[in-house]
Amino acid sequence: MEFVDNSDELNDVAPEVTADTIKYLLNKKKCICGTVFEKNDKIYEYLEKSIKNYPPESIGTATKRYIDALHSCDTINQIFRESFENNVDEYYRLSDGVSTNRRKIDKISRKLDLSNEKIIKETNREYNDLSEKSDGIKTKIILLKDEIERDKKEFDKTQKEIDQKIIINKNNEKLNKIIGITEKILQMLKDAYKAEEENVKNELQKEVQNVYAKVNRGSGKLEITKKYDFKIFTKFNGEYYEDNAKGQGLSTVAAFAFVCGITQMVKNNLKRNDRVHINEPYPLVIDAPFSNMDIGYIKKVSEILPQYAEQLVILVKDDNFEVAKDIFKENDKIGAEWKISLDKYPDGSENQFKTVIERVS
Amino acid sequence: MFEKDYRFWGEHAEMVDSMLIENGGIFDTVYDAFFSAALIGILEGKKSKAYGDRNKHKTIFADKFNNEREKTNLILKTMLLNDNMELKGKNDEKVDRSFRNFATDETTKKMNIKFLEAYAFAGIETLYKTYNEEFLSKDKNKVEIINFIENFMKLYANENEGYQDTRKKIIDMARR
Repeated sequence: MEFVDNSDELNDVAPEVTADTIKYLLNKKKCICGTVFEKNDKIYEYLEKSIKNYPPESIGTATKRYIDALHSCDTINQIFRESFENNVDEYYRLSDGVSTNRRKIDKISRKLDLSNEKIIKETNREYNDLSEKSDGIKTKIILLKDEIERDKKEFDKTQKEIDQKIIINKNNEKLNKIIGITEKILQMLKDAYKAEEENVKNELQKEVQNVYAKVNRGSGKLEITKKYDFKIFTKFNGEYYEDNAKGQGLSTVAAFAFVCGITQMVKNNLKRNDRVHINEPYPLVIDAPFSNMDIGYIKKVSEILPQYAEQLVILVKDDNFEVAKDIFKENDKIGAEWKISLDKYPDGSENQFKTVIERVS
Repeated sequence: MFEKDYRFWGEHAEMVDSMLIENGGIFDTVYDAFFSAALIGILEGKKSKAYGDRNKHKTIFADKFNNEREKTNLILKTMLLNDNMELKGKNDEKVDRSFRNFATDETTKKMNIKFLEAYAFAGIETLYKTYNEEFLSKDKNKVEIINFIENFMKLYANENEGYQDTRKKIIDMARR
């Protein structure tokens, strides 16, 4: 440092350049700026002379630059140190402030701890009590929720059942209405039937009585029973007495009257229903009607029967047909006459297994 | 001076590593630790040699030297000029190694690097010992670290006689 202090070679030349650098350029004969020169040029001579100004031949420049750098560094160091010391002082000051405040906080906290210790303990106890109660309530809530859930399910189930029953009830109501209506219709039908039956019976009674009056020789009466059987009444001294004896002839006459009455009533009905175009819906077929009748009845019946039937088929035996035949002929009521007899063998005996039907007239 | 990466190894590398900020220490870079240690070493007048595990090493990269060239040269030149051990009384050699041959002679360069690292190693040992003793019974918080740095600066700058003498001379020189 003494050497540096005493140095007088403090020339100003290019920094960081050494004698070797100058020698290198002289050897190349070309400057770093690109200028080319020859050995005896002015540039060459100038560079050659300047070697003595650079290390290692001269250290003046290096020394000067070192001193400058030292000075600069010292200045920077001084500034840095002052700044650092200021910052450190500030840091300590702030740290002290932080410590002081921390102590204050600790002090206050201790005070708070002491003064509030009782309250805190009490509060803690209350908090614990409340926590326990809260836990109990929470458990109850959970149980109640479960119960509610179960009730809700039960309610839903019951509601479904009620809904189903309501539907069934509605169906039942509907069914009951239908039954009611049906019963009413049935009652109406029954009433109508009863009324109609009464009418029919009365009409039949009237028609039958009418026929019976024509056929019967006496002044008796024929009455239709509920079961559509008939009773015969005989008039005596102005009063009717039921004739339970019902002689065969009278019974047959009554039966004819009954049949004729029905036939007449059917005809009347057809007329009312505008079905008169049907010519003969009920041909009247009678087998041996005159068997048990005396001649008086045979005459009456033979006169009346054709009046009630459009077509009358009578099966009779020869022996009791003569009277009736005469009357039919007289009234021109015989349309066709057929004879039914057993076939006869050549010897004149009857063949029981062969019937011969032949038209007589 | 340093045209290539500089690598040192052994205990000093491990000590420096433990004092880096990235490991909870106080130095930003290996360069800062190494050259701070070199100044401490010369101020204490102590030198040391490398020892320990050669596989444990730290590196200052050439790029860092290039960026810090002026500072590096300034520190080394100042150390050379103020050396009171190896170069004590050898003023011509000091001038040659600091200026004349500083950047031109390879042998000088190698000698200077050895000179530098001897002081740096000693400084690393001092730093490491002080640093660990300081924080043996203290929390390594910001306040204590700043306190440590401040004390260290006082010890090796404000209150160091050698440093103050040298600085006085430099300031006087700069004023002329």
